[in-house]
Amino acid sequence: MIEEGRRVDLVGEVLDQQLRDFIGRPMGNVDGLVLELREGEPPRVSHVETGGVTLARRLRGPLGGWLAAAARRWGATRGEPFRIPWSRVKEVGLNVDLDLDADATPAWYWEHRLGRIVARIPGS
Amino acid sequence: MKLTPKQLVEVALGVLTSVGGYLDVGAVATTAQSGAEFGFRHLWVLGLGTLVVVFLVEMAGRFAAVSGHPLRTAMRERLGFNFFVATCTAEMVVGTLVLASEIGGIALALQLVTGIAYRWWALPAGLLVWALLWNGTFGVLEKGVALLGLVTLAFVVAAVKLHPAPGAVARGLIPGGGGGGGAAHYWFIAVAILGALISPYLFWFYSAGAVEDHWDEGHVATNRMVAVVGMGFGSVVAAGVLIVSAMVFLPRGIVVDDYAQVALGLTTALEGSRGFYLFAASLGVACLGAALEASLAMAYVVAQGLGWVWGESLRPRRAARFSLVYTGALLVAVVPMLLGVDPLALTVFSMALTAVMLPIAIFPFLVLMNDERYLGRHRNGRLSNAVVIGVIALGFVLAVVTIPLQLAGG
Amino acid sequence: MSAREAHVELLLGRVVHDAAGRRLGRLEEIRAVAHGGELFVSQYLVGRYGIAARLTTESLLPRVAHLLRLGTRRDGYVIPWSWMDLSDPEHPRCTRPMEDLPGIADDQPPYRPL
Repeated sequence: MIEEGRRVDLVGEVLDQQLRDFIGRPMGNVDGLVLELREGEPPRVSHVETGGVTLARRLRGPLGGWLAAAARRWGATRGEPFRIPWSRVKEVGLNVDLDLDADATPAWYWEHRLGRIVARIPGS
Repeated sequence: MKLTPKQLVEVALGVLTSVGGYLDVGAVATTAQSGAEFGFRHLWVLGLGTLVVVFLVEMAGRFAAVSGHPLRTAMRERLGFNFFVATCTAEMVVGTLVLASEIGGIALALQLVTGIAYRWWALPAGLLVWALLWNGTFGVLEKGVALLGLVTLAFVVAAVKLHPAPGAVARGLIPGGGGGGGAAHYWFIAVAILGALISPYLFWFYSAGAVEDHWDEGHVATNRMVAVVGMGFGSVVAAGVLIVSAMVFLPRGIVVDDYAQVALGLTTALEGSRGFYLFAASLGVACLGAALEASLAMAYVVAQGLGWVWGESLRPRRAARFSLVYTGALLVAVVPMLLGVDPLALTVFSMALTAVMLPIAIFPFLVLMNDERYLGRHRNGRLSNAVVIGVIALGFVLAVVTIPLQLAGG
Repeated sequence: MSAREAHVELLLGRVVHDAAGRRLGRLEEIRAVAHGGELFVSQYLVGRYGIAARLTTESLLPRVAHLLRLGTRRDGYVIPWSWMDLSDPEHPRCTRPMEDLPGIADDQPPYRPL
């Protein structure tokens, strides 16, 4: 849990930082950060987003459209952004440490699929 | 300089980076051409290039050691996704061309030894590089290439045996012009040498290598030494190539057009066919090291920017996406040689592209090396920042001047 | 009452206008404070030089000058969360005129002195 009263710069310290799972393995970057806007209350950071769908939205021009289509067709989440509730964030430092198992998330979907193919090649 | 056995092993990373990133097909081509046409008068350019590379390599290593993040990871984190996409795309395009040139270098070395045309060696060379990456670990590659790299010292031995006049060598170390006619060509070669020596992929590689070797804050002093000794090794060998070329070709008025001629130079210098084979071995090893580095650098750029699992020390099945990037890069890179593209022409072209990209590649150093979060008290001082700004300025000059010079003086 | 959403990565770099429609600059940073393990937005930082700030936290030239110890001068505004209207995420609006806004001072993070 982030210590009480700690000031965090969302762009400089959280956005685009590398995500690590509960045993320190890399599972992508903070590609997006969702704010919950509430009437009369300060916006609350509600989710971390990661994955091609989120990245596609950030790209301007045709590249973004192409990436979005590719994510819908082949992505682990079939076009839905992969959201991680902020409550799963343990610490924000040089990395954003999560209380999640990377193997159980869409972040490693393609790592696993390709890993099975790679395993058939001798020497791997 | 006394080195402990442990430090000696660590120097291996520096020497590998040097043999692969610094001394490669481009460096051999440009220094050989320089010596044949201008004698020792480009030695100061070599010195300048070495100085620049030593500074930047030291920064790349310090950053990785202190923060635990390789440069490319931090570039995505600090400079944002759009910057990452632009630079990643450029690195992939240029990197593939550089990789193709290095494979061409390996193929040419094999052609020299066997007489069989380099086109037939493209696929085996690519396969060899791939097999080494797939089956090897970072440590094995590091030490293996560093050991093999010792064969390039043949150039230094040859240079010494030719007894160059110390006065002439010293004059070459002082910055100056080419004198007389052909000023455009003199500066074209100077720019080509710098473009060949200062390749961004060598910084990405070294930075990732520091993480692969588990360097930490305690390695800051070692890193400084490794940068100097490692890059110093490559620069001494490059100087050897230049001096041999100057002493063998210049008096005879031979212009260096292909690598067979350069082989001839070593043959003459070392008296006999031993020199010929040593040259082929040196070229082959340098290009093998460069090919390993260039392909790994591309995989590092992609994987580190996208937050994938990465590492040459990992078995491919544990870093599948990472391993497939260098596999794909190699598959594409063998194509030009298979199609019979001239390796020397491709080398010159890819060096020009690298030079054009240099300012954008070096600019992140300015931001990252001053970032308190990553480096704490190991941030750049005023001198290091001035050097980076100077290199960016130099990079702009190279970028602007490369293409016109190539048209005018190449 | 439905909660609406905004995305930090899409707000970054957007031009922010004040209540009178004058241009304040581009959104550079969103500061937050932790309470009970949650993060709540406290301020929006709007810089005169815009998206280049993502690269350098300030504009390039002043930053290079700062690195060489040639002096500093940063420009921009700090907008408290309650004065920011994000109903149109593509056009963030400050609900006060620019005269009411505190300027970005040299020693405030993320503009830390080097």
